[in-house]
Amino acid sequence: MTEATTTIKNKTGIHARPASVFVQTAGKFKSKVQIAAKGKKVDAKSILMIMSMGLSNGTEITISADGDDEKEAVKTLVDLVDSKFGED
Amino acid sequence: MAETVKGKGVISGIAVGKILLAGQNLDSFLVNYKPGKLDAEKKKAADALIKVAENLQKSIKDFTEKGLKEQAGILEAHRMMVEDPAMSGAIADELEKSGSAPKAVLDAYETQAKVFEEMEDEYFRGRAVDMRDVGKRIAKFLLGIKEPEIEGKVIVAGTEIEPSVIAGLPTDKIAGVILGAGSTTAHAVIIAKTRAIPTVVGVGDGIKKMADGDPVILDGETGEILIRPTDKERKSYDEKIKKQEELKVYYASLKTLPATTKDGKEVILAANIGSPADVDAANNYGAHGVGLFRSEFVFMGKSDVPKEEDQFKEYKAAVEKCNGNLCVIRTMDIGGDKPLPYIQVDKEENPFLGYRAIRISLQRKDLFMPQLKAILRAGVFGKAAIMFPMVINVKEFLDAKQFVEDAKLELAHEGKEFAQDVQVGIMVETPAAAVMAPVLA
Repeated sequence: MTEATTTIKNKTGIHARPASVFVQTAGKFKSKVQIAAKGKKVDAKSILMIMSMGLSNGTEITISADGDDEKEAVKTLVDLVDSKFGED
Repeated sequence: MAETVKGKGVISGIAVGKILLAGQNLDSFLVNYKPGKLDAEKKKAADALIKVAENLQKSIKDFTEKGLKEQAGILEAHRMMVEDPAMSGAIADELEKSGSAPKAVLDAYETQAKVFEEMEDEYFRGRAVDMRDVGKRIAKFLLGIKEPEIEGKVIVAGTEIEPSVIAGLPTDKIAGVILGAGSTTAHAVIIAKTRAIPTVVGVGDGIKKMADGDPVILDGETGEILIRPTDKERKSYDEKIKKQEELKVYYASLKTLPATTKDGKEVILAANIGSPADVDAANNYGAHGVGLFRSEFVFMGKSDVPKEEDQFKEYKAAVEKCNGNLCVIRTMDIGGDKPLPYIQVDKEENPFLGYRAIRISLQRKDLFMPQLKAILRAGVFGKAAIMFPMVINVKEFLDAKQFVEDAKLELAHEGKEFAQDVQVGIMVETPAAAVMAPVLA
């Protein structure tokens, strides 16, 4: 399993659009991908689970993946979060 | 005797049509549903998810081809809610409990809707409606309920009505609107107002007395609603309807007359619009241009700041439809009472005088500049003017004007065509602006 921790940097947090970009990106990988924050851990391929976590600016999140392409999955998703989903 | 329900009439006029329920009650169908073995129900639920997602995809394609981007966007979000891996798991869990596929689907989506409802963020709370909508869609498919197809004019009724329901139906098909909730500022009511559709709100549980296809007479003035009226009752309204029609014809005969006061002074009679499509209706009534284009509607129902290009298309359409008459576009008037996902406003005692409208625009260059640039560019296609909302002092007005000059510089730099002569002004609506009017002028 691979995991990495980062912080939500875009101003409006993970609302509908960033969440759907995140889920679509996670869906490209075969590995099981999860996202953990605020003491909860959910399926990163589920937009509902991610949206219901209410991830706002400044929230610390840990992205983990388990499978053949786990390293690439974690790196791509952390980069996506760090790029502020192209916002601001 | 017809069943009578009374609410508050908010948009006057008599409407006659058949009920189209916006929020259907499935309880009676659920009671009569005979579930099979657990495995069979599981397969049924899984198949329904695939089928419903396919149907949504078809509608999305239809809407996209017709250029109805907004509707397509809403359905795209719904499709993702159907295909979400978390939901298939949640439905399977609920099935273990109830053994009925449609009930499991409704329960699973209801649980998720409650999660959204409890969230702090206004935007997420609003998504609870969508979750329930999606759950119902799938449950209806499982129960074999077809969407009602009603001949002739309809009266849309529901405890709450999503604006997309009214926006999605052709205007000439909707005779009236009945809302269970009491809100006169609901989006559905605002849309009904611009289209002059007779509307009654606050009927509460009265909605439960209506079924799809029930003939109804609605009086948007008294708030009275007659469900399944007898011939005699229908006749008693004939006189009122006749008068209404006569009045319509009379008003229509006035539309080409000049708007002149008794002492001979001519005034410009312009329309108040929320979208370019409203200009068509205004032109039919003989309006001379647009006095107020509420640009908030361009900003609402979106998860991100609308792009300059998208705004430009809206403003251009409105300006062109004005046929050379002036089209006054008011910049975004958003504040604490109607927040947006991309504008965070803390709750305030008096949102109208607080962080709102022009004061947000002046601080949020990322919101203000694309809007100003879009309006300046639209000015090329007719006569556009910019109006700033909720201004309270001279400084705000001067700052805003500086933004307009900056927007022109940026456009020139980008090599985009724009109108140099777009007039700029303020809306005198705050007490401060009224008192200071001579200075602001």
